[in-house]
Amino acid sequence: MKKLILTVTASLACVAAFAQGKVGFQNDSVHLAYYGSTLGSDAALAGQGVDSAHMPTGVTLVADLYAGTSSSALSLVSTTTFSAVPGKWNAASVTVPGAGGGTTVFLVTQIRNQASVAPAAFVGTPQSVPGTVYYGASSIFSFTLGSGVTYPVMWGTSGTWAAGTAALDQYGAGSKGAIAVSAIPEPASFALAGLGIAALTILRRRK
Amino acid sequence: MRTKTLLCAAALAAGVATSMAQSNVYSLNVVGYVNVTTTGGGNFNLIANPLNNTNNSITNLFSVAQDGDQIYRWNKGVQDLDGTIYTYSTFLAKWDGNFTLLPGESVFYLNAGGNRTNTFVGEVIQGPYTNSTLGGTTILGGGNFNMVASSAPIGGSFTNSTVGLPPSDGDQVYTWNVGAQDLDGNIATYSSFLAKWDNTAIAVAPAIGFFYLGAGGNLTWVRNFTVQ
Repeated sequence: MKKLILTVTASLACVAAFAQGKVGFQNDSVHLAYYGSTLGSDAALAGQGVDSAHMPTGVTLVADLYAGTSSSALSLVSTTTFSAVPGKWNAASVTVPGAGGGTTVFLVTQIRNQASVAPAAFVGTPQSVPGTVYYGASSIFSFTLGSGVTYPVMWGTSGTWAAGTAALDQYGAGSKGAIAVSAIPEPASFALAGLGIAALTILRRRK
Repeated sequence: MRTKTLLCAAALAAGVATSMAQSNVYSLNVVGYVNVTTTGGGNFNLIANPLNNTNNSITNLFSVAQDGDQIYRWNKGVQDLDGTIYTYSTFLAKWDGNFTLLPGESVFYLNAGGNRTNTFVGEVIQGPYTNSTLGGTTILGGGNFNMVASSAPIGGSFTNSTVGLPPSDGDQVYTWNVGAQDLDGNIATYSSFLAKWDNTAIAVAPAIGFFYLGAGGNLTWVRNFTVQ
């Protein structure tokens, strides 16, 4: 009898584990991450897919997944590195805390420097990730979390992530970039530009 | 003359008999067995029938089972475990249902008792064989999962198991981690740009199943296996 109860308990625990909200954190050939504007030293990367072999100088980029039941309140749930395939990060099977299978949530992917700190809540601006030199984010889209054994892919029919529009046919006909990762001007650059403008204004007044 | 004819006929018959005796006659059928151990205590195990038995019904393949053992099939149409669950009762000494588990389909075997080994007996499938699971022979693409197995009793890298299944860009292979009772975090992904899998170190033992995520179009998996 005791054995039967234990078995039933263990089975229920396993079935309960299947019932957590799941998502396959990954992208496909029409949702690639690619370089938009780059720093001068990384000019060769512009228009290329982000991958582990093509990182900006001195930078390692990673992808963050944010999720939440409101599109304006998204929490960090997973981070993964980039793969060797242009434009794709390494797939990760993710269970979204506090959201059961079948729940419709909002998802967004953010690309940043690994050395920077990802904010706990998604803001969607480069300034929200202090220290990042490159930044990019996908659109925010809805997704119904998986409730079964598997982790439904975020680019599949369980979600509404629109295909990218940037042509990246060099990685296969029809390949599209959906996340542009661009260089962020450093604060010092802003300061220099400001000083330049101020100097020009003063010179003009003196004339 | 009659004696001469008889002697000739006897000599011819002897010659034919001798030549028949000298030519070796081989049977092309290869039969054998595969043992697979399942973890008990209510744990799910992703296993498969690796050999073609004369009777591939689960009541025959798992004729020795423990009370409360269950078998779950994958319903690719709904992308979840099928609602029909097969349960064994020691009191009734039988399964409460039955289906044919062909080589190439994998199932979740919930072992309700202690760890135990099941022995699959049968013939190694040779020649063209179309993989078939619940719902038909289509390997679903479009980001759908398929719960499959090798139709040949071959271990090692999962690439030994997927021979005959042409991968599309983004196709993935997931194995089952019995200890974690979840899909293993180690995933293999195919890149058509690189024309290779990113991780061929993932091993799949004979009689063990795996999930195949089809990222391209629907496929039919035909394997042409020959015992060397």
